[in-house]
Amino acid sequence: MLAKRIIPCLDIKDNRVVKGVKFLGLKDAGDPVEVARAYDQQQADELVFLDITASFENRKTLIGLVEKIAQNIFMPFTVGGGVGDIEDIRNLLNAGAEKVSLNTQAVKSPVLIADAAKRFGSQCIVVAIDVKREADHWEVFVNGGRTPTGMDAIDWARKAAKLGAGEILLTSMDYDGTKDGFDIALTKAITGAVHIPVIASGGAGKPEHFYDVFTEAGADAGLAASIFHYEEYSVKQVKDYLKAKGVSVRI
Amino acid sequence: MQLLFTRSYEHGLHKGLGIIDGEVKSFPPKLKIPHMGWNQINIKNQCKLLNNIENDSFVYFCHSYYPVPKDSDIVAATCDYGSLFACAVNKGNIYGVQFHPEKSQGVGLKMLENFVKLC
Repeated sequence: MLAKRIIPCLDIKDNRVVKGVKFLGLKDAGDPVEVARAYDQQQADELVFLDITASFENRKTLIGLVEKIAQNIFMPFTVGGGVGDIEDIRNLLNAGAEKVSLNTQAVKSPVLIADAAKRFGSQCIVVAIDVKREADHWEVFVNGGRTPTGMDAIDWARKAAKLGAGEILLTSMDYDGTKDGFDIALTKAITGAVHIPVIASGGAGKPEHFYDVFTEAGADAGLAASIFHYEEYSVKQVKDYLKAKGVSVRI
Repeated sequence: MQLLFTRSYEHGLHKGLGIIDGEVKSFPPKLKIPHMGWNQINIKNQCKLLNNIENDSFVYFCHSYYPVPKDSDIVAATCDYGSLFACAVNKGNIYGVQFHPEKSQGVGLKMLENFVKLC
């Protein structure tokens, strides 16, 4: 049976993991390969690396980093942050990323989704959508959550899927960092609107939150950063909880 | 798989090498497509590629199309996504898998080791 996925998210800046990671026993907690290895041992299903510097100079070093991760960690991972064109996508996939995540550039130029899906296949094209609740709709934001787009998240998710996106990485800006649980209403609205997998992100604080977003909102995967980074829970603890509750997970 | 089979329907009809008789087609639209994530394999034929791989092992899938071989005897393992499909095939010294052994952690590495031993 297809398992629900638990995905730790790592922010990368200048080739280092940022967000106070504090795994015990690591030689270098900021080294993405070491952090990935630790999550690998915890039975994480996938990893997402977001390059938060994403400047032109950093692109080449990012490619080198992706190669190093792929040579050392034999699990699927997605790379995102500043991906601008087909060439970027090609380079990241060639370096060993399983999937590439598009955000701002896909909003600016939706045809990039279609081009990328046609060239490399939908299965490796993730569209990340950052969403904030407004009075009467869910608004899509770009540029790392700084710029509103005037677009409705449900419409945008539908359009992205139609253009060939293989997965939606849905982040609730309202819930992000709160640890109060995922945005169930938003996630449910999106999973109900598209026929591609949806990764819910923002708000995970305890194992119950993953259970809720899988069973109530139909998410295919749950992504979290701080609860794993700060070792409040291990990936394994979350999975053990889910398994005991009858959710299909890979243990 | 698309390379090994007779034909595929991804972005139109395309011929493969035809080493294995059969076609590669899309999952039905009622399912979430792509089939993405960790799913279990049911071993049908303990070929050398699957040496010391336990039945029901989880491997990583990421695909929208799946192979339909004409000869069911060549199916080494199946996977359940909506219905059962062939996720590993073996014909003589030819092996094909629909999942990603290179991304399937220990189980995948074991298969790659098995494959290298065959070479």
